[in-house]
Amino acid sequence: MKRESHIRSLFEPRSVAVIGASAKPGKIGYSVVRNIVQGGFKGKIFPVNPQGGEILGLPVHASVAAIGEPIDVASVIVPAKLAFSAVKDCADSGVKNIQIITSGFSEIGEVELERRIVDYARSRGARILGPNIFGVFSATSHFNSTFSASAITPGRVAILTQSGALGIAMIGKTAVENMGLSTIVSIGNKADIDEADCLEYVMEQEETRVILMYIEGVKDGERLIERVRGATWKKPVVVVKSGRSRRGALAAASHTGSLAGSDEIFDAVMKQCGVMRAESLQEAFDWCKFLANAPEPKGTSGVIVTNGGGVGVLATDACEKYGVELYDDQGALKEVFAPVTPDFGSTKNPVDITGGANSAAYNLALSATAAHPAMHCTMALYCETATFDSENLVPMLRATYDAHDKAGKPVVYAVVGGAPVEDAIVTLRKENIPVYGDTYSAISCMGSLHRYHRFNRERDDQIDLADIDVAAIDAVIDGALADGRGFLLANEGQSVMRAAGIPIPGAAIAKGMDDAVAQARAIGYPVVMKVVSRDILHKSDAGGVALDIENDGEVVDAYQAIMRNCRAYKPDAIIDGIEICEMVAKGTELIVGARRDPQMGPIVMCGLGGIYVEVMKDVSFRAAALSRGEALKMLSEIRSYALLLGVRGEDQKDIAPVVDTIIKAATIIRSVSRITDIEINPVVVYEKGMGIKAVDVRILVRK
Amino acid sequence: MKELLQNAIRKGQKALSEYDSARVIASAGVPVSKSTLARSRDEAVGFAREMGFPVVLKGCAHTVTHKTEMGMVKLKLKDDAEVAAAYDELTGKGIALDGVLVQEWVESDKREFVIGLTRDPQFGPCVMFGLGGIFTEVLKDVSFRVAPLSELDALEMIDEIRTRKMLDEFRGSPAVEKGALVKALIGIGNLGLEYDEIREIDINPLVIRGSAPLAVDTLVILDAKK
Repeated sequence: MKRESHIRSLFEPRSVAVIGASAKPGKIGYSVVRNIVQGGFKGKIFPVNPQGGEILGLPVHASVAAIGEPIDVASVIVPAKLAFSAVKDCADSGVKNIQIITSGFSEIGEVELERRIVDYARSRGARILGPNIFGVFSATSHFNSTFSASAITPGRVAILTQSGALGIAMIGKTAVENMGLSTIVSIGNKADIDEADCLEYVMEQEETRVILMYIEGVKDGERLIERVRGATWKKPVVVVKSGRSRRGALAAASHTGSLAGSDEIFDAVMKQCGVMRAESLQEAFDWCKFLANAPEPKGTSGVIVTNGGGVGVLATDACEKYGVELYDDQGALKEVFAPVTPDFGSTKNPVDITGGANSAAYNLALSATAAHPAMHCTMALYCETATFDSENLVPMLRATYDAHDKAGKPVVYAVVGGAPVEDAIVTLRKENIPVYGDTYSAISCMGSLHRYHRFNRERDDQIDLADIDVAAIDAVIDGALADGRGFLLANEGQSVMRAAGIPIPGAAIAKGMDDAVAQARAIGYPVVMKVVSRDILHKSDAGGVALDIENDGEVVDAYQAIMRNCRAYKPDAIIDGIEICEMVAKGTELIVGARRDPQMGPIVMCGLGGIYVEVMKDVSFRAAALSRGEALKMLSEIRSYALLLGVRGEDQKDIAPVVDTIIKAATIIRSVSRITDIEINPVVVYEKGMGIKAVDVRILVRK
Repeated sequence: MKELLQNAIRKGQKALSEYDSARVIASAGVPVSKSTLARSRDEAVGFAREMGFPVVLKGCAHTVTHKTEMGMVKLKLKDDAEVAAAYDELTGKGIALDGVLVQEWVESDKREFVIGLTRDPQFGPCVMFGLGGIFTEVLKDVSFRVAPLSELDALEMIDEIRTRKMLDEFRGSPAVEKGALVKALIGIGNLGLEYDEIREIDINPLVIRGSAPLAVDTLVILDAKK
């Protein structure tokens, strides 16, 4: 059976069984049956309880098996200790989807029980939603299997929430806000079905115009990324995530690990997928409600109309913050707004029709923005004044909203003032007219609309892969693992770089003085010479390092000096040879990394490198499934990007090979599953055309 | 000091030469690297010997405000011959110089900071502290306080930069003496209060030698209206 149709049967079942149904009001087993019945569900409803009897006129069955009909969804409400046998009964009877409302599983450490339940269900072809959830609602099927106290208003917003309690609260809140829901599902412990599965349903569901996700933690990031990428093509996705820095302390052995609090990665990856992250629930609700009703803007130019300079400036600031462009044709602005703007006002954007403006002036100005083909959206601001005919505030807002609505043009209102203004907000929000008490709230909503459409205009979902020698990398890892190591030695790391085609400084181990001269010539002067001996760990202390060797004669001198120094330092040291390395010229130092994030899967990182990595934390992240364009965007996001463009009269640096290196690191982490962390630091970047050098690389591996 | 500033303004200078800038800044209690102004090649070599090699040579004039871009800095000169050659190169660029500054070479530990003074049209003289060198403009990791600064102001502004960790023990270098930094910041603020002639001060980089801050490059910009 196709998975998609399977997930649809969870939301639009033909029949539902409630295991642990109760006739006692106040019990969850009663609320669920009541909600299904009162919600207007058209399919069959089978309450199940060994005690039998009747609930809300429906006969109660003794067991699932006793129903004798195919069941699409079973809702399990029995105590945790009885849950396994309930699930077993359902799965054995061929139930397709089992939602376990009961809590007391992995969230309190009962991981084993939860796994047994899922394994059993899956072995019988059934899928599990939950446990620890409040249920499912779909407006398409009028199916409300939640235990919510209030009825759910059908509408256009789909909510996928990890938290049950918050989900129930959201139902109440959305009712107050008159924000209708197309779907709400709580995912709970996501023992089986997760956000990615539910996205599959809501992204196709006709009623859904906007998707809101509340996420605490991600289990299978790679799959989620794939699904949200698909979803954002079709409709806006807004996410609220908690736990901003919980894992920071768990920082792994690499910089990529320690720099990347999992939240930064989540944030970057969501942006990459076009998901809009709200700071708070209120912001998320505001965005969703607006996005559910607003038409797609026909262009990017907005107009601010205000009766006060102060809020006009605040709105201008907010436009910059939230990415709303302002219409700038002074001539057209003057022509359109001069008739409603006194001489002491301003027809520049923000258009200030001044404190003397009454409802008629607003009506004129706002019907003009609604009608003008080059003004693509409107942000209308009102500060309460004594001259405004307050009794006409609500009618004016309604009328101008309608004018915009008819013109297919988005509009938001921010109104500031006392009781009449506050009352207007309450009244109009119930009518789904986007009126806010604060300019930032209003414009953040307008910004979310533009951001969504801009993302889809510019998005680049291509995944670029580099041509790397995976077999060679595997051979290196085999060697390290056979040696019992979870990390690669310097020369092994260099082999991986070579296999990926990432340029590294030339190096060779010379076995004698003549060899040293030959190697130095082959690498090219200047070179660095270092003793190679397992008995000498601190090479500099032993006098085993010589820098800036410029010619054959200096090689000979340095060779003799190093040998002499090391023998004096440790007479019995076994000296394997002298390493001759290219002396890496100075350049801009970056870091490029990749790692397998426990939540989000393979990710890449780039940033300012060298000694500044930790103090500056000037880095950016992406999911490793990315294009060269996205890699360049990621690079240009770091503050030090200006260094690559050239500062203080320097030439531009060689950016293309840095992008190549990012793609190569991404390819390694995606193709070589035994590598968990790669960190190339520094990657020295030279002037345009002069390439890069990966000077130092650390790689962690696992079995 | 007042006279030095007034004279420069009378002569139509927009800035002080580095030599004079260093004197003004040193007067505020900021440690400045050793330097002498040489007016001939022989003098330059002589000063370099006295100071001990390596040295730095800089073309010195009030018009030389972007030394690096103008090729007016010669770093880490190791002997007489290098100093002589550098002297000839700097003086042969066709730019009128007061002389050539011979400065001690400071082996810094890569920690570079900036101290600045600006005049805000509303708030008056403000002191800036932050990350120096090439990163000042790129990372803009700086903090500001209005002069006069209390010790607490100075300590707070030091602690406000994102890269404050570099002031602690860092990669084998000892922690920076915060007392010396505090004194420097307060001193620069007082210069701004005392002398209206000064429009801006730029000390960048302020390097760390051992644990002590040391101004390596200094610039005083004048306010022609005063």
